[in-house]
Amino acid sequence: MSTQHSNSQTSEISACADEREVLDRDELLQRCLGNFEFVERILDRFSEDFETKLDGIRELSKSREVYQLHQLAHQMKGTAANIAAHRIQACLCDLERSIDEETWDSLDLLIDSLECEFRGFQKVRQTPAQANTPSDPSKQGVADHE
Amino acid sequence: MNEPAGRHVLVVEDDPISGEILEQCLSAFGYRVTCVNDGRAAIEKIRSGKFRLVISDWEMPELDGIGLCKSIRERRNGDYIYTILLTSRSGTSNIVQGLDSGADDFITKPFNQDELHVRLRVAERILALEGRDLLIFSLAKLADSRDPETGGHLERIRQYSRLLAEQLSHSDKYADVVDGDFVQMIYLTSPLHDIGKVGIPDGILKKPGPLTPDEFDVMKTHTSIGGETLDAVAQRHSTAGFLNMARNIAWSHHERYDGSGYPRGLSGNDIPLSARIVCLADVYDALTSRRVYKEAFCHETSREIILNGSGTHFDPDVVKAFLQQEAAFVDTCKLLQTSEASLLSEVTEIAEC
Repeated sequence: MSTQHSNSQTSEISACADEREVLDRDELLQRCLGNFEFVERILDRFSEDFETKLDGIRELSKSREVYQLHQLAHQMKGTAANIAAHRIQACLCDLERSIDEETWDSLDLLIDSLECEFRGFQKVRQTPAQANTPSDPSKQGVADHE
Repeated sequence: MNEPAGRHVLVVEDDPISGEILEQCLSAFGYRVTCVNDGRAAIEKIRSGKFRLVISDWEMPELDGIGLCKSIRERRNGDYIYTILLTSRSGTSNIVQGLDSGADDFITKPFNQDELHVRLRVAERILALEGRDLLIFSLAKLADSRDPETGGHLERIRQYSRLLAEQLSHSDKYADVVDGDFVQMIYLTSPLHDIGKVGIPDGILKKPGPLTPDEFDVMKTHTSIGGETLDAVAQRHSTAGFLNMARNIAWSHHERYDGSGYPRGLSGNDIPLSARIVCLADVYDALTSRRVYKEAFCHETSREIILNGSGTHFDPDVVKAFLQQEAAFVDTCKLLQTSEASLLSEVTEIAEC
């Protein structure tokens, strides 16, 4: 197989790499030992819960409830990490730091960014599961677990 | 009911999605999983005594993972609980704080399924080791409590057995069989050689005078009682290799090299090596110890008796190992019998006061 890519192939690979930053289905599938149905169910659940939790973040931010805000952001960060939603995870990491430092001005911007990342996640989420391919060869091997 | 320690995992995670992913993964690895969403609920579950392995998130409402680990370590009753902190916190200071609170291991989120699996196997191995040592100690003490001989006998037997096994490990003939694990295993399991005496009636076991032939026949059954009991346990726990050695020793330590021993009349190499070793250790200790029916023989007399039994009572290779470790046998005998005499004198003194 040639190592040279055409421009369209290169941009396709680049898009796939970007999508894996948003949602790495391969990583999640491996974590769930190749259980595709389970992965889809978990992603549905994450999508359903996220908006409610985002509203919670906004409310707590307004009332400056630092402890509860930190708890919620931390929990959302852990969930995002586990489902391999890396951009959301990174955004929540910044948000958590901002809460700890009580930099309220940047907090509102970060919450808006988080909402934007979630919209991007939903978009990738709606694309067929193969959208992440071609995947990183080092992340192959899910079938071995089945 | 015979679930090995650590196969039922308690997951403590306040985020339902992360908890569900973890549960799915653990179930696929063959673990039984119970999930709770905070440290307080976890403490209640742990009190049920059903859990030996806990995987806990760090940050949780009410009682967090650090508080949970501390509470687990403060328990005064119950088995050891192996605790793994699973958290998105990382960095040395967090790891130190987590382990310092009493956690046994630390995994960062998002977890890698293969890493999680091997770490769980480590946890199971550690729990099994703890169970093994406690089991051996408990069983040996049980046998000891019914035996009119002194408790020092068990300690001397394990020391003599270790000396013999170590010596054999240096010979070309046994180098492939007797390794460091064998030496450690015989040290651990040799005190169980008389475990079957728990099945001998007091009237025979504690009889001060000589036994009648019928009584001696009953006494001989301690070997098969011990062997069959440990065999039944070994068959139900096939991964616990130490039980096989314990069974061989209990069953065959009264066999003789020429086939004239009991209970099965095994001879030569049909007698397991561990039992051939403990046989000599047991006889040497019986000879050099005082009994109600005899004074202790000196080392030289005991040595002579053992040499006379080489090839008939004892495996000649084990006798050779005994001669090579002769000085260490004398030192061990003196050291352990002296400490036992001091203890006895101290106890007598206290009783008289």
